[in-house]
Amino acid sequence: MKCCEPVFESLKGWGDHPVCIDLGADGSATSLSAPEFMQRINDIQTLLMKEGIGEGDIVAVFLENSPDYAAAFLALLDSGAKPVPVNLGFRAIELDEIISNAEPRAILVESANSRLVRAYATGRIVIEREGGKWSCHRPGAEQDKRGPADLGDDIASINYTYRGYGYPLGALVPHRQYVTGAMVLQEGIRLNRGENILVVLPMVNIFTLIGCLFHPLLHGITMIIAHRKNPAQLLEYIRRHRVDNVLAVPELFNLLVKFRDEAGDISSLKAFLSGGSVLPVEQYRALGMLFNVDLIHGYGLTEFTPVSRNIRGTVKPGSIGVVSRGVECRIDSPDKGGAGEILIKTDHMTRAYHRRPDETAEAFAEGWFKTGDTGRFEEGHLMFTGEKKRTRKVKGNMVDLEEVRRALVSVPGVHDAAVTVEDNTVSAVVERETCSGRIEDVLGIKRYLEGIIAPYKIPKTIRLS
Amino acid sequence: MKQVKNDALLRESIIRTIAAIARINEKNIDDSVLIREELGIDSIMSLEIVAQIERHYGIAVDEEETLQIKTVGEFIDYVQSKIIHRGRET
Repeated sequence: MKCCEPVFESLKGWGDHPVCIDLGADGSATSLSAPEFMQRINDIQTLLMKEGIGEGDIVAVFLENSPDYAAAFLALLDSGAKPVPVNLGFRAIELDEIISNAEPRAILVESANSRLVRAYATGRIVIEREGGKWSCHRPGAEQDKRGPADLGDDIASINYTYRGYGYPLGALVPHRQYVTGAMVLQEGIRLNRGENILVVLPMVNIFTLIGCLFHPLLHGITMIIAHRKNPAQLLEYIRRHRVDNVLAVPELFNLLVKFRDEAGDISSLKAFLSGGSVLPVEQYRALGMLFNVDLIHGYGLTEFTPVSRNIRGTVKPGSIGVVSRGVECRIDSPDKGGAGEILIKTDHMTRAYHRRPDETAEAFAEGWFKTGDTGRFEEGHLMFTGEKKRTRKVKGNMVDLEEVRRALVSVPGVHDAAVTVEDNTVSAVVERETCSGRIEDVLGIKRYLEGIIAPYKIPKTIRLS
Repeated sequence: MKQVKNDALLRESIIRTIAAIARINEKNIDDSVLIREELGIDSIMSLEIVAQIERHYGIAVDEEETLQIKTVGEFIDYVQSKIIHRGRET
């Protein structure tokens, strides 16, 4: 069963409340009812069919959050195509790897981001969205001979992630992940039909796809899509649109604290749904008290989300919750304190990385997925203790230390580099060599990096040795 | 004369805001300083700066537009143009 099918069933019995409210940067608020949202899905399906995009076709998606993004994702899934959500912050190093690995037949892109795909457009079907309208181009259409990828009917999408190899890995995410993930998330967060959720994070990560797309659509929750994300504005949205729930990373919730005093009446707020990075006990307590909400923190990976989440009403501050129903979880080679690598097993998780057999073999063994994260159990709750793999979370974003090192050694005059992350800050020590065209200073190196990797991966401090 | 004084106050106030969020001595910040590369302002810090500026000056800052801004001076000019624009609207 495709994961979009239960969504379509849910939309049939939706009720009077909107499926989504799109908050434009200009202050507008556009509501879409269930029939209107379904119509958008149908319109995009018609477009996909007209362009011959369907079963097995891999489609890279370079779209910002919008009702059209949600509709396009569902339309692609229903057509049997395999969407590849792409982080719009990615630059040449990440995009070269993703495009060469996924080999998408088509690209869906926001016209404002068309510069990102220019280098990859030739020979592909490019569907551009501008002002809510779609148009299709076929630059070098004669090269458009890519056949459908044989990924299997059970695979819904290819979602890129990192494990410290220095390049992204395309997790083959099954349809079951989206539906089961939304179901076990609901068992933890317990939202009520007719409530709403403020969508702030880009719908490119599995956390947001499950928490802000599939969960709301399957449980009758209205998505309120925010296009402006500064904390004062978010509080204004909460006040004006009577927001019930917000899903974000801890760093964003912490920013809200600084603007709480002048937020006005935000008594509609019921829950903060948190994930994506560490939420220490002190921050947990401060947030809960200041906003008088249920703060529910959890943990997941692109390969399966949520692995664990706190249960509303029995939250253990500082933990990443209890293991989700249907997920087996064990700690491998625990130390004296009981901490070791977190291994998981479920019928609904990713089982391979696209065209990466060696990396697949390293990560998946005897039915278990080695998360690369470490943790321990405490009173039935999972406690996150760190990352064993060479990746780090920086303010909710995943940084592959080896990829940053690779980017640095591509800078003219850089021979090698050591990259570290501490206190949410990426730092590097760079070893230089004498060569023609050598970039002499730290500023020059940072400027060079701006063109090749996502901004959040650029080391804040670089020491030349 | 009054306009010049206002411009100087605006500049001083914006630099103070940026310095506080970046945790850098404001004396080390001038118009030519690069916001991301030299001050290390990341996306979360940018959101906080935008919120502070909006609150202080009663303007709406387009977060997408600010991504194109490179230096402190450009940011000050941007805020100034928004304030002037707001003045014309009211």
